[in-house]
Amino acid sequence: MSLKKRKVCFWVLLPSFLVLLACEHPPERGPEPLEGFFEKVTALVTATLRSHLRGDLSKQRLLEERIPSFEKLTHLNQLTTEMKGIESLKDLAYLIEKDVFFELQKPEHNKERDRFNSPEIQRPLILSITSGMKRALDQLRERKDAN
Amino acid sequence: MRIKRALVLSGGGAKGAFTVGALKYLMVELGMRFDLVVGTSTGSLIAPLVAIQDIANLIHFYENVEQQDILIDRPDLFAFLFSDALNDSTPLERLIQRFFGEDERYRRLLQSKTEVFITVVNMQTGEVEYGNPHQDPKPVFLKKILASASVPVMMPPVKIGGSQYIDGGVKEIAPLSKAIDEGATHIVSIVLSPEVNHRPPVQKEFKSSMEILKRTLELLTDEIVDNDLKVAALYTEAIRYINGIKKRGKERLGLNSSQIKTLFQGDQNPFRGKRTVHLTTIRPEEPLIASSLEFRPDQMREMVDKGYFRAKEVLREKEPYGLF
Repeated sequence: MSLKKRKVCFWVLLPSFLVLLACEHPPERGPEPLEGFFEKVTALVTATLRSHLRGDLSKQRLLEERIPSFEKLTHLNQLTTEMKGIESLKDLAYLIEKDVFFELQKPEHNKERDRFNSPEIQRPLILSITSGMKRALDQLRERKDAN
Repeated sequence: MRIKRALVLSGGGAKGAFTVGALKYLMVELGMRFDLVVGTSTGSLIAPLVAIQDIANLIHFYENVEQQDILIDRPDLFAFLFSDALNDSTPLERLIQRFFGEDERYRRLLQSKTEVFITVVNMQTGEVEYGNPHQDPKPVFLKKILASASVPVMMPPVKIGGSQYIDGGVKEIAPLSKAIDEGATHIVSIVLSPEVNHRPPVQKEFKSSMEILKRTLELLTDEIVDNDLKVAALYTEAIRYINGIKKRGKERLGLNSSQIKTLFQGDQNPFRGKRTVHLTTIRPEEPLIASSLEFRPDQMREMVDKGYFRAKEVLREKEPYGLF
């Protein structure tokens, strides 16, 4: 292609490129809002545990060891009673209760409140708490690996 | 006298994660509720979710959002020559729509007992204006949230009606005066920079114009927030002083209430009808991050944790009287 033709091509393509750039429609990005009771409990528990376990490796290991047995429980009371029985996890049990009841008192969760003691609430609640525990430990590990 | 509890949330971009941690402590752990929330910039993104007590979504948002979820870089030269900002804020606009625009969540905001105000600056008049979900139609309020977070030059101004609006932090980073004007008696203010004597010098030379611009914005921000806090403290001291004079007038000069009222009446008294305010400020003890526009999830999570523990410390110092 001659230099003249290349120049013409360039001047034809440049405005089209600029127009395309201007019309660019960025894709949907970023976090989606949490809607349900259980995923909100997970978010609160994650933050609670991460902040209290940061820098405390022995507590992190202890919690990690206990998660499989916690996952088998069927009621929040069982979980918190078990945690309160372990001296170094006692405080965390009270904080987890606060997270759960903070979320539960909100008007949008009246369904969960009305049937709070039923298995269809309690089982997923236990799993949402234990996923918060796992997520907190993962986040602390990620940070340590990054360092 | 009825107690009116206000929460004042300052600007600071990514540092808003510190605010979220502090709120987790105040609202979830201590069960505090507020009658009024006033937010600027990143504080205006937080305020509506505080009103509906959605701390879980605040944590989720601030711990997972990344730089490109908020802004799209425009090529510097292209931006300088042809556009109104160095970045495109379309992603942030969509996030705002997603987090606040959804009908059910917005209905909850309108029904909330907590009144929300967010600050913006009108570029044409140069005045601070406020966004409020009860006073503004929904699309306007959402635009004001975006405007309140739009750091000038970095992000484009937002057009509402015939005016362009930008970050309220340009004039008021910790909008305490609005809380006082709305009748707050007790204010908890969360500020995202440490006190002056806790700000170490930056050990580097600023070489590019962008670095200089960012550093200048940080310095201006610190200056504005210091002044906001000073004005609020001075205001309370002045009212206490006037009340002291009134008391001494009664006790030592034997003046009665109506004589004292006559002395202080008239339009010249700028404190007429005002009350003292109990102000508690929660702020980090050291600078959080170098740039407010750096959104990195690992850093944000660390700031959430710092905010939580700092709030706990400040409140412990307040015992046994508490905040309210």
